[in-house]
Amino acid sequence: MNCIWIDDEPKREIAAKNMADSLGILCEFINVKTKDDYLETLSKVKPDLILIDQNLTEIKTGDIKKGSTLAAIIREEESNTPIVCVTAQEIKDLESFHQSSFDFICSDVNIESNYPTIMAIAKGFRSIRSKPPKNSKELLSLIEAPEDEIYRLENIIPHSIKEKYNSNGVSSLIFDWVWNTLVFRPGFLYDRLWTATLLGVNLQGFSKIEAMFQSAKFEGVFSSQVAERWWKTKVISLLSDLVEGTDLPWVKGRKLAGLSTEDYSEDYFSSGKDDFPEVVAYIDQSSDVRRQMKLKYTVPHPRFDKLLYFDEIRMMRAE
Amino acid sequence: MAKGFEPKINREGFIANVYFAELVAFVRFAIDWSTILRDYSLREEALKIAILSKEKFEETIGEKVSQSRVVETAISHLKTEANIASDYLPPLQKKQFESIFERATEVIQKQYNATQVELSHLRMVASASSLLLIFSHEVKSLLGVLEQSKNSLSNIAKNLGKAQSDKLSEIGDNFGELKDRLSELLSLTSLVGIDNRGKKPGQIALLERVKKIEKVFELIIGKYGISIDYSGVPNNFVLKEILESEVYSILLNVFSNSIKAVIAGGKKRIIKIEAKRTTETGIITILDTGVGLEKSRYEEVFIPFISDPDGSLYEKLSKKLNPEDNLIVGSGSGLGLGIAREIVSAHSGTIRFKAPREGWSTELEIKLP
Repeated sequence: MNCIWIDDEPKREIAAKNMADSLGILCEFINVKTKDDYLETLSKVKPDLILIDQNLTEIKTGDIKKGSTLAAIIREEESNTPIVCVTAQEIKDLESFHQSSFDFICSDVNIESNYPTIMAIAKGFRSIRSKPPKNSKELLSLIEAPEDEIYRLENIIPHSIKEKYNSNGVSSLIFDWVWNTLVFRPGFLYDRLWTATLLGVNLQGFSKIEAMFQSAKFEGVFSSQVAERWWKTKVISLLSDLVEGTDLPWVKGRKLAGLSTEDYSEDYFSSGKDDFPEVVAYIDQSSDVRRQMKLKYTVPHPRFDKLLYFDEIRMMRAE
Repeated sequence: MAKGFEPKINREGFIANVYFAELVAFVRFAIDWSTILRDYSLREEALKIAILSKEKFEETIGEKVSQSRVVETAISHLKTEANIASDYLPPLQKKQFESIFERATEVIQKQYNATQVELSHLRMVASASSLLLIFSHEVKSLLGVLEQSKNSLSNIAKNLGKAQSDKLSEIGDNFGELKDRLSELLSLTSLVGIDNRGKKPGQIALLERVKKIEKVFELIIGKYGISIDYSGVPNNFVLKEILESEVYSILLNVFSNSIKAVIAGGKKRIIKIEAKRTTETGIITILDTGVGLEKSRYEEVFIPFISDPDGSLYEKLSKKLNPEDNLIVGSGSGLGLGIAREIVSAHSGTIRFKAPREGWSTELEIKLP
């Protein structure tokens, strides 16, 4: 796998080298402060991944001063190559129309923690490039969707993707949908805390029984270690095989071997007075901290809209 | 639409032409004039009047007066003239005149001195704020370098023997910890900084914010063996219709005061925060085992620039504080509690000191809806 890193800050060459060494890939650093034929290099190398700095104020030639503009130009030729923005700027401070030029944006302050995601993006694009999905069925096969979720998932695949099967640029649309909807929003896929809550345990408890749910793990296109997810229906199905009888999943989950009472989930709102928290909720609208809570102690989060078939994102209610 | 004012946009933003550039310049001038320049012109006007009156005074007394001694010189001349004038008064009235004159000139001199001290303090605080912003921007750009140094070390470590690799990994981990801690502190700087103006007030859960404040003071708390007890803050204690930055501002100011008080104070160094909610009001109480506060000073400490009303806190603090920590907790701007009261009052709440319960030196109560 080879990638190209376009930057006007020579110090970032070390960052490019570190990334290449850590991921075992080839990474060519193009310093646009001194090199003016970078577009030519791009067309020769045909990289699997392009990383661009957002602020290219020191660029040697042309009027382009933003990585997002350069990304838009590259997209005209290379619409199936992922473009990742590496910036020292706060991501939230980037204008949304600049953000939309990139497939993924990461801060140079914690780039190492994003290596697995960057790699997942590069691999995912390559896989789509080599065998682009011709229809929704093939796309769902790429994400390895469980059989009993096919109908609902087919219904929510965005029209922008359905209209572009077999066309250039579909990889970016698929990544955007998988990453920002399917992976980010709980519903079909659950993260570690949501999966633990579904099984009636806390994070410590889940680490003890995690191996039993290995086959429920999302390993489809764009899956990444840093955003590990489990298919909800697969978890429930495995739980039925492991624990006999009919009951709520959080009740059955606690019957799994190896768990003790200290592994059980606790309702954050009542400090454990109420049992069996059913949801994961933010502690308030400004915080990124989430806790296990009883549904009755939560309200819809004002920052997130409802999405068909997805769980509602909620926050703790004021007393 | 007037010719030339057709807006155009490309990927990098708005394309300005000469007409828009002129419009921007005009609007900017209007805003500047109505805000900064207006203040500036008022200040210039006041300065002109002051210079004119100084020149007239110099003309009258027939000598030049240095700018820094204008008030003193004027009072001194006033005294001389008043003494001459008072000789013409009957003894009883003369005595009364001299007494009033003495008190009046004393109050003018003292008020003037206080204003000068306040002004120099304000200059210091204003320059510190700018420095903080510059500092946070510079540190942010260094964080990326720190991340890459850590990553380089970890890659070099892979090719070394176990002992050397472990040592190098340890250094890399230290870099990583340092970077994470700096990032966390910087995130708080941006929270209480100007970037925050666009945010809307809403619900803020208190406990996680107290934990974050504890992290901010982690080094000083660990060094001086201070314990912060927040077991009295329920998970579900939520403040309503308030900005996150306002909650951090209140907590930072209140906790930094308590930290100073417990370092300067007795052997036990404990700060406790409790929170409970009645039907309408949230009550937050901060208790500490520090130097304590005289009941007569309960209100005075909220007045801006009065950081240590009886002068005992900083005297005791300087004896117990390591010199390198002076910058962190060694001096007070005298604005902290005033700021906290401003914020609390703006939300129709109250903040006050009350007689501490047994076992504690200070008890501060904040009531917020």
